[in-house]
Amino acid sequence: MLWILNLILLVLLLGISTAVVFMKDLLVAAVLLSGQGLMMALLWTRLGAPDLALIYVALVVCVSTMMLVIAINRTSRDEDEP
Amino acid sequence: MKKVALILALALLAGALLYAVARMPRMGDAGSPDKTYAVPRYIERGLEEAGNRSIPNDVFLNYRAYDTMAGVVALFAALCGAMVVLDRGRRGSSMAGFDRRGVSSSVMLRTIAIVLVPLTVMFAAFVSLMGVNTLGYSLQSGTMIGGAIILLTLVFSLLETSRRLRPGLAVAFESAGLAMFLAVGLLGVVLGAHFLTLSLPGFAGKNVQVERAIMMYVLDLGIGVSAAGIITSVIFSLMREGEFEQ
Repeated sequence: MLWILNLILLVLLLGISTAVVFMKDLLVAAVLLSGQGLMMALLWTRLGAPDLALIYVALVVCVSTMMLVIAINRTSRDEDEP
Repeated sequence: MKKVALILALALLAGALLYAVARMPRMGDAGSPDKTYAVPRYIERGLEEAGNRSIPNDVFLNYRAYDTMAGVVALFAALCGAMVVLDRGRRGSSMAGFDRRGVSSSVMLRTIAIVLVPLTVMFAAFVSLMGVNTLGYSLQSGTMIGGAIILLTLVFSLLETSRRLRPGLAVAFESAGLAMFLAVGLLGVVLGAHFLTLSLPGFAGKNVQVERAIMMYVLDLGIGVSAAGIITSVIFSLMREGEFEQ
């Protein structure tokens, strides 16, 4: 039955990734991207690589989201604004 | 003209990479050198030669410690480049441009951070200590500790963090990883092995399990320390960047 969990994680991963691409609000996109990283980390644990999952959570979910939020804070939150 | 040169350079790079991939042994090829020589040796003699139950750790910290050091050097160089762009000569006047406004974060955030950070640090210590013999490494624990410091900085202000972690300490942390690698390498040479290869001829007949384990742990710790230093330094410089322009 665990393949259902894998399927849910994969569908969530694809859905969140697609939503990130089409999101106009960059702050929402950055937060969604961290959610995508979390799904990826859960998939790594399911695939038997907890060390990779740990580094993924720490770097992709925490640090790179932090960098994106700082960059959005310095520029503009909307995609269309100059 | 510029565009043509760019496309040409990219095509050259792609050609070189594809050529290298095409020359590699096919995936699953039982006759390739890594299957016939390297992997069986790591599996059969890794514990005896490298002294660690975790084969990935044996490879990272012993057989291929030299390559790991090159990785740490590359990270250090990347950090130097980022600092040149981000932190233009502000290292000296450390307190001058820091955020003095005092961020008013909510009680909920403060409480969550206060509860979460000790647990994170404890878990990082566990991962780092267990990682020497089992799964997981100090790289993970270093990034976790960096994340904990960043969380504290977000909740309390950058001024508070910089009052507790002086900028000189950050410089020390960034370079400590590389220094630990060099120290362990030179110690290995003194003890009779090759530089950063603690497994082969030099240590063959001697009973140096404890020393070798400590040296491998110091290497592991070096990776973690440099990861934590690099993450916190880059994030702090990004946060500090705007203070001067406003």
